[in-house]
Amino acid sequence: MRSLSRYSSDAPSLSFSASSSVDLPLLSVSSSVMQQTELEMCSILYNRGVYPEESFSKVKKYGLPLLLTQDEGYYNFMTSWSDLDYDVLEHIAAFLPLADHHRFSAVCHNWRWVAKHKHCSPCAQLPWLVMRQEASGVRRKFFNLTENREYYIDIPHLYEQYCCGSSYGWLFIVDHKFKGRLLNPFTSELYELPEFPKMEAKMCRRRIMKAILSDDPSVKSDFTVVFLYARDMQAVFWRPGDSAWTYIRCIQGTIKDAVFFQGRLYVVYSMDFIYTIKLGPKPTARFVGPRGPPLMGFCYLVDFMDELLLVHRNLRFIGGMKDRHLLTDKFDVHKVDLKGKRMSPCTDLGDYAIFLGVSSPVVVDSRQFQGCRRNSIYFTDTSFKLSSREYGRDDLGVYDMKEGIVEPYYPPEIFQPFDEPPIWLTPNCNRLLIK
Amino acid sequence: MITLTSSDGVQFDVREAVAKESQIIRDMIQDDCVITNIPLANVNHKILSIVLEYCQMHVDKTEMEVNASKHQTTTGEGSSSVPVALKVSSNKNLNDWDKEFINVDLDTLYDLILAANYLNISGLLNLTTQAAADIIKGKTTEEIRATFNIKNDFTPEEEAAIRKENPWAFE
Repeated sequence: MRSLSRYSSDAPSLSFSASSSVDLPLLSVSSSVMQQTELEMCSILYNRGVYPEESFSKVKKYGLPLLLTQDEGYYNFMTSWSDLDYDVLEHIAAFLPLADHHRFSAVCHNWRWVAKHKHCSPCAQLPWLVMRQEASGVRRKFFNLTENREYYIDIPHLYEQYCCGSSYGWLFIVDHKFKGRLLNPFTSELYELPEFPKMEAKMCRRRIMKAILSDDPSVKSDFTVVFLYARDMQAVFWRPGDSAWTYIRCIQGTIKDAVFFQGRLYVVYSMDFIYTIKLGPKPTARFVGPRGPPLMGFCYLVDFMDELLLVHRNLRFIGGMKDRHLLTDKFDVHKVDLKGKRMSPCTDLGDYAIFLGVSSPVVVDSRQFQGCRRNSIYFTDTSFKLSSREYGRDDLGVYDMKEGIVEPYYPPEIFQPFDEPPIWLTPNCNRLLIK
Repeated sequence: MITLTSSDGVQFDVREAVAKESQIIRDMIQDDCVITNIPLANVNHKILSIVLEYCQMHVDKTEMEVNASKHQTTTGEGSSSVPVALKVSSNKNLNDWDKEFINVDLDTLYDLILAANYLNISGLLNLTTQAAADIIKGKTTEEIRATFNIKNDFTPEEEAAIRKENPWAFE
């Protein structure tokens, strides 16, 4: 049937113009090519006896009698999901979150090629919870809120490491010798941080309260990392190129939280005084604004859609003499007016949800994630001192800003109390720019 | 009006704006404005009618919004709340309509993806590929293969090696 090719020059006459208007060269050619291809394939299949002879019917094309099979097997073969265009498969894969992306890539060769070679990364997703109770082993439990299920992941890099927060999908880990690293648990990439400065004798890993990044190191090579210490031990920062960590000790008092907002570091100290810190060899602080009398509990600074929020987490005691411990009661949110040095109450987060804990706050648009609650704050247990060892470790839930109530997001039937608070971590599959 | 002819020879007369939801048709019309008849070799009449239903709906909704915003700018402050509400509700309705529209069987979804890709209708391509992704979500690799009737073309060794990369996703 090679003779078909001789007729290709006639093909444009086959274009389906019913009127006298100009025909479209591109579509006409592509349509005739498609038809030719189909007819040629059918002829090959006929000659090779792939489908039963009686399943072929004669059609007249290009002035020749040709054969077209009606066999279902042929059409199933021709309309196979595995053989979709790579571009189309890439479109589909781009809508899949991490775990589904991995399963997609194991379906067949074509799908795998797309998942691996098209620079196709999983879609944005809600943060996962990294559970920390099996600190000495390599196997860690993750809770995926979107799928409402747990995963057990072996991460050798986490062996005997202490996790003290996350930012942009990177876990901050510290070993026994007080050496810090950034670890992306989903790509296994490590970023080595320099030795921490010689600490006071009382210093230990658990005194690290939290760590934050100014930018994602896999997107921007010029980033800043800040470690916050509990009590009055303040904070240190480091940037690639710096020979060592630099202390931030310009303000007396205990740091309660810090955030990078519009490229600047903001720190909230005890009594809710907020300062912005100018980072350099000798960091300096500028006062930004106070708030009313501080409430019992924790506070967080949040970059919320280009507004700086101060979020108070209020706690109350529950239980009797024996099992008395603290649980989150409510959240109070204030917008920080940086110019007016004032705060104004914010009672509605709109369609957004905030994820709070020892990790950097994550703000998501609930409309993009099925099952995510709007106008809500998802929180994890904050600190080992917050709840009693025996009865605590259960202070996690989602706070509805409108109703003012806390509800669980972790299915009670699989929830187990933990030794250390879990950490929110948003999977990030970018590769590091520099090593 | 433009006439679109399906691969099986059925003609559809549609407004130019509706046909221009397709990037490929838009490009052609811009290149040569006398075109009034476009044969579509890869889309049969059944699928083309569904595609055109989508285009028609989206053009209507967009035009409604444009009219609403014109109304807003010409009538001044007093009645500005009406068109805004209209716009919000029309967006919401369109999303609901899309959701209902894409509730089709797998074979139709497959054909719609091919048609959206071929005609380059980005909204429809997003809608259909998102629908396919939603079907994949939460399924094991075996369940995905069974659902989409895909043959496992890996050798057992290859498959084991793939799973070993991220064993947790297959547990």
